[in-house]
Amino acid sequence: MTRKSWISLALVGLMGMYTGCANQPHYIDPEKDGTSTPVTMGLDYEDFQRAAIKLVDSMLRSKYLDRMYRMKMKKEGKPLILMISDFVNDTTQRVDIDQLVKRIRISLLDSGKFIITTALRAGGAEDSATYELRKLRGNAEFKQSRIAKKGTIETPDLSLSGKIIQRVSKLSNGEQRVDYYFQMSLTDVSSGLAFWEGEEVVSKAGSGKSAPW
Amino acid sequence: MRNYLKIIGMPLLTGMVGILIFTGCAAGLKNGVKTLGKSFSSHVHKKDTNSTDANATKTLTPHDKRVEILDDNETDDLLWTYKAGTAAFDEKRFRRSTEIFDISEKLIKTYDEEILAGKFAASVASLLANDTFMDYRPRIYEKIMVNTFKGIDFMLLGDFANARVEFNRAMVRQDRAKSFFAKEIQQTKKKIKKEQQEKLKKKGAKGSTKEYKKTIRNKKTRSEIEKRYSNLFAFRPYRDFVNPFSTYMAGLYFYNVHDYRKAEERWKEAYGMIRKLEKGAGIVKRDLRLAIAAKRRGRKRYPRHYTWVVFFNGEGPIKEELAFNIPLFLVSSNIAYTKIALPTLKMRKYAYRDLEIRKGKRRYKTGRITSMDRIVKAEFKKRFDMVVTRAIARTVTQAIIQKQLQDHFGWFGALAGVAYQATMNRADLRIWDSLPKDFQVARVRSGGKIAIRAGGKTIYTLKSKSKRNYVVFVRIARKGDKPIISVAEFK
Repeated sequence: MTRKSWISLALVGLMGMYTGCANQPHYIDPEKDGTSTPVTMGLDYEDFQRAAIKLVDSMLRSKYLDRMYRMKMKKEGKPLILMISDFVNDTTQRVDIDQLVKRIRISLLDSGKFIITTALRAGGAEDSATYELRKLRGNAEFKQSRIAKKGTIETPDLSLSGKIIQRVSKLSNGEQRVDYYFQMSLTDVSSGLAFWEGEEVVSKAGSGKSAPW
Repeated sequence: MRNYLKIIGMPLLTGMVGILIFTGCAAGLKNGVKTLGKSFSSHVHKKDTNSTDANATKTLTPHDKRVEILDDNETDDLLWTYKAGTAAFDEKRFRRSTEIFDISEKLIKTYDEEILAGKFAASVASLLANDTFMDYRPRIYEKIMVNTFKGIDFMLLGDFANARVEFNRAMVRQDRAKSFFAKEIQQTKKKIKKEQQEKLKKKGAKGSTKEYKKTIRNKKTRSEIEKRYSNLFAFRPYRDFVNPFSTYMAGLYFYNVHDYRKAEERWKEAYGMIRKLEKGAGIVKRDLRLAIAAKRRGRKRYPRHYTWVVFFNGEGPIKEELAFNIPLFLVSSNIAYTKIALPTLKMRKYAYRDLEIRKGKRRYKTGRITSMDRIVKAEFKKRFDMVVTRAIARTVTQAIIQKQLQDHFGWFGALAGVAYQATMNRADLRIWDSLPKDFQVARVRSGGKIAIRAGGKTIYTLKSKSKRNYVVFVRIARKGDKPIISVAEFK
C-alpha cells in the first residue's frame, strides 16, 4: 500500500470514530441554567423547570401566605392544606400540564408550609383510594377500627389554579417571537380571595418559517 | 459543428427516453393513489338501504385494514394522510384520525421550512417534467382544515384539553397565512427563474428567458388564459385565507367548555367573515348574542342548554385538466402555437340543500356558514398566477428543446420531442377530495327528542337531556348516502 492510501484509510477511520461519538446518547446537565439552547419554539423541560422554580419562589416569599401559615400553625399546629384546581393549557402546544404542576407541588411540599390533598381536585379525586377505602365500611373482611371515620378528610384552605397562554408575534427580521405566560393564583377557598398571584413569562424567538409547534 | 451537436444530443435523447420511462412509473403510481382514494370514500357513498334507521351512528362495516395500511408503510405522501385522516374520521376512529393528521402536520412543517428556505429538493425535475412529479405541497386551507378536523376529533373523544390546542393552532395558522403566502410566492418565483436558466444551459440552448418573458407578458397569451378562467374566478371570496367554519368551531368549542369570553371573540370574528356572504350568518349572530348573554353571568354556567347540528354537506371541488393552445414567442421562428395544460377546478354537488331539525312542533333549518368551494377557489385563484408562470416556463423550455431535436435529428428527433411533450404537458390534478362542499349549522334547545331530517326522511333522532349541550355532526357526501353521525355531549 502506498503512503497516500494509508493516510486516506486513517482519515476514513477517524471520521468513522467521530461520527460514532456524535451519535452516541449522552447526558446533559439540565440543572445548569443556560447550558442548553432552546430546542424548539414549543415548551420543553427547561421551560417548565424555570417557570416552576420562579413561581414557587415568589409564592414562598408572599407575606400574606406567610401570615396565614403562622396563624394556622398557632391555632391547629398544621401547615396549610392545598388543593390543585383547574389548569388550562391555552397554547398551541400539546403538553401535559401535570408536568408543570408536579414540579410546583414537590417544591411546595419541600418548603414545609403546605400539604397537598389528593382527595379533591377539579373534576374528581386525584387519588381515589381515599374514597375506595371508605366504601369498605361495614365490610366484615376488613378491620373496621382501622377504616377512617366519617368527617376525617381534611378540607383544603387554599386552591391553586393556573393557565398557560401563548402569544405569537412577527419580528421585523422575519423571525417569530413566541411568549408563554405561566399564570397562577392561590385562592383562599373559605373567602374566595386570591392570596397570591404570579406570572412567569418564557419568550423565545426563532425561525418564522413554520408554525411554532 | 455537427459532431459537437451529436455529442450533446445523444445524452439529451437518452435523457428523454429515461424521462419517458419514468413517466410510465409515475402514472402507475398515481393510479394507485387514485384507486386508494376511491376506496377511501367508497364507504361514504354507499347507498343507504335504510336511511330512517336511527342506528346510523353505529360503526359501519370495518374498514380497519384500509386505514391500517399506514402502519405498514409509514407514508410521506401528504395528500394521502389527508385522505386517510378524513376516512378515519368517517369511520369514527377519532383517535386514529388525530394520529394520521399528526403525520400530516409533521409533513406540513417540513415542507413549510423547505419552501421558505428556498430548498425545493424534490422539484428539480419539475420544470422539464410536470408538476405531478413533485411532492404534493400543502395548501393553506388544508393546514387549517387539518387542525379543525383534529379539534373535532378530540371534541368527540371528550378530550377537551387537546381540542383547545388544535383550535388554537387553527387560529394561529389563519393569522400566519397571509405573510407566509407572500414569502412562499416570492421564493417560488426566484426558484423558477434559476431552474429554467440552469436547465437550458445544461441542454446547450440559448436565450430562453427572453422568450419566456415575451410569452408571459404577451396580452394575447394572457387573454387566452383569462378567457377560460373568467367563470371560475367570478366569485366573492372571504377575507384572505380565513376559514369561517374553523373560527366558528373554535367558538363552539369555547362556548361548550364555558369560556364565554373566548366564544364571543371567535363568533364575532366568524360573523364578520360571513356577514352578507352566507345565509347562515344570522345563526352565527344568534350564537354570538348567546355568548354575550352567557358572559354577563360571570363565571356561572349558562342555565339554558342547546343542541347544535353541524352539517358537512356534499363534496368539495376536484381538479380537471384544461388544455389549449397559446402563442409562443421563439427567437428562431417568431410565433408558434403550442399546447399548454392547466388545472381547473370542478365543483361537485350538494348532498341536500339543508337539513331540517324537528323538535316537537317546531321546525328549524340548517344554514350555510362556510362554502369550502369558495375557500378552495380563493386559494386556487391566488396561486393561479404561479401555476401559469410555471406552465409557460415549462412550455417554452420544452418548445426550445423540441425544436433543437427536430433541427438536429430530423424526423426521429421530432417524434421523440412530440412524444415527450405530450407526456410532460400534464396539469397537476391532485387535491384533498374528501372535504365537504359546505358547512351548515342550526341550534335548538336541548331536551326531549330532536329529529334530524334530510330529503324528507328522518335520518337520526337524538334523545337529548335538558341539562346538557350537544353538538351533532352529520356528514353526507352524496344524496342517498348513509349519513355519518357523531355526537359530542357537554355537561
